[in-house]
Amino acid sequence: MTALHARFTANDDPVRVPRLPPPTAAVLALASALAAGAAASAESSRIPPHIDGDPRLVAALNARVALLADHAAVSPGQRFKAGLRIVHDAGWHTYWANSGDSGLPTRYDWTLPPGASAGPIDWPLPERLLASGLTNFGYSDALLLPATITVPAGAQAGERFRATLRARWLICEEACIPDEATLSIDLPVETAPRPSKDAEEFRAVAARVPARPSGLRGHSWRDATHVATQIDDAPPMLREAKRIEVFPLTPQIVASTRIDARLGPDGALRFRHPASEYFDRMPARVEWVIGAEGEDGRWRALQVALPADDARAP
Amino acid sequence: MKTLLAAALTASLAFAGMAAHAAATVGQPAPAFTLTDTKGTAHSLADFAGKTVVLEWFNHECPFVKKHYGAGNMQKQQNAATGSGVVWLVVNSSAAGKQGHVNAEQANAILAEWKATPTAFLLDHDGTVGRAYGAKTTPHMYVIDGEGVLRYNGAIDSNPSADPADIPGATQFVEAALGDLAANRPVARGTTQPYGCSVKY
Repeated sequence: MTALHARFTANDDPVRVPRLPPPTAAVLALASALAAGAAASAESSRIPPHIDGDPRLVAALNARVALLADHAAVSPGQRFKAGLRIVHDAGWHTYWANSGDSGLPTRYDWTLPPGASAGPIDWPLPERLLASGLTNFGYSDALLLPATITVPAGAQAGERFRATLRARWLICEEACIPDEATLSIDLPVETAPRPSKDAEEFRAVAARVPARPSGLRGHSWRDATHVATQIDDAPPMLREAKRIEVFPLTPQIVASTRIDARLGPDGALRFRHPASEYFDRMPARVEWVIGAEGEDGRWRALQVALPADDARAP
Repeated sequence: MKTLLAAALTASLAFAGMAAHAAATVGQPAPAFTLTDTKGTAHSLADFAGKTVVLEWFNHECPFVKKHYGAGNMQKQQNAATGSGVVWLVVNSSAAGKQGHVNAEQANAILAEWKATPTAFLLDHDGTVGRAYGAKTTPHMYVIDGEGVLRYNGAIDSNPSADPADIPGATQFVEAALGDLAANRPVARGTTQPYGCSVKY
């Protein structure tokens, strides 16, 4: 090995031969802390100061993270929101439920008191991230990823409610690094719930989490090369939108590139997009998330699971 | 109904026009290539006529590649495959100056350090072969049958994660495809979505 190292160091383009298993978390954390310090000043223009300067944020790899809750005190049987704040370093991003051409969705594992439960991540509308010819779906800058926690009905005022989140994510610039954090919140149980100072942040992100309107009718089908979709009666949110952006929540259906959706004079929303290179078969339903930018410049979104079939000639 | 909808759509949409860029398609002949390996030997796909060939896109600095090598999953599959006459080619398409770019000497040192025994490690520094196959991630796996037809394109396994702890619970797609081919069965899952780092063209 000595000889090899000697030859590597003499090379113009040295490549470290990593030993397996990969570097310890401690080494990576140190590297990240150094990088975070260097990037922090450049961030301030894009990240609201009250988020950028939040003293609860702890250093992660190319990001800073904290576990937030929308309540400062919870009550028996109550549902509340909690989730990870990720402040990405400039140029870095994490991923949506469908990560697109590469990447990985962020994962949550909760440890909760007996009788308590946690719902899935409420994914806010992502953005398309273009890198090295790939299109991914994810988030940059400041992100809050909420989940619903239910306090057991048998909880008693005066007790503490402690929730621990193990969050795992992949953070990428061009290179990608898997990272994770285990963080806890410890809230008093009181007879009446008491919102926290972060409640407004949770309200803001909730506006970008897709609504699931019932009664939307439509259909997705495969033709020779593309997948076409029609939503028969587009709701006002879509009809009045300045801009519409469509995301496939179901993977392996369509290419990740931007989808051109059109509103017809009949009130239907239609889009037809190249099938994914990894298209295998049509599932019974395809899930779409459709973002709409209103006249006020704000994005809202809806999520719909449409019946789907494969119309290709056999 | 479907036809009517399709016709209505055709009429109302100016076609986006942007066809999915050509890449290797399961059931079609795999793109021909000639690449030089880390020992200086040139290999063409045609040289392996009659044999099953596995292509594995590789970047030793990518956490997903480290996941499968760190846990020994990739080496185990390479051994089993080459032991039963399958040709296993590792391909490095990282451009000069990009993550995971290695010269022949460096590649050989990594194979030795990681105790990996593919048939050959091919250098594709200009990315020609990676682009011809549409290789998107490391790892990204392809299986080509003895007639040169692509039979598998996709992920190494069914559990997209960077955590080695997820390997035991995953379906190993390449292993399954090789099993199907060895038994003269159609490959049950020919196309899956690859996961990993982007290929650093």
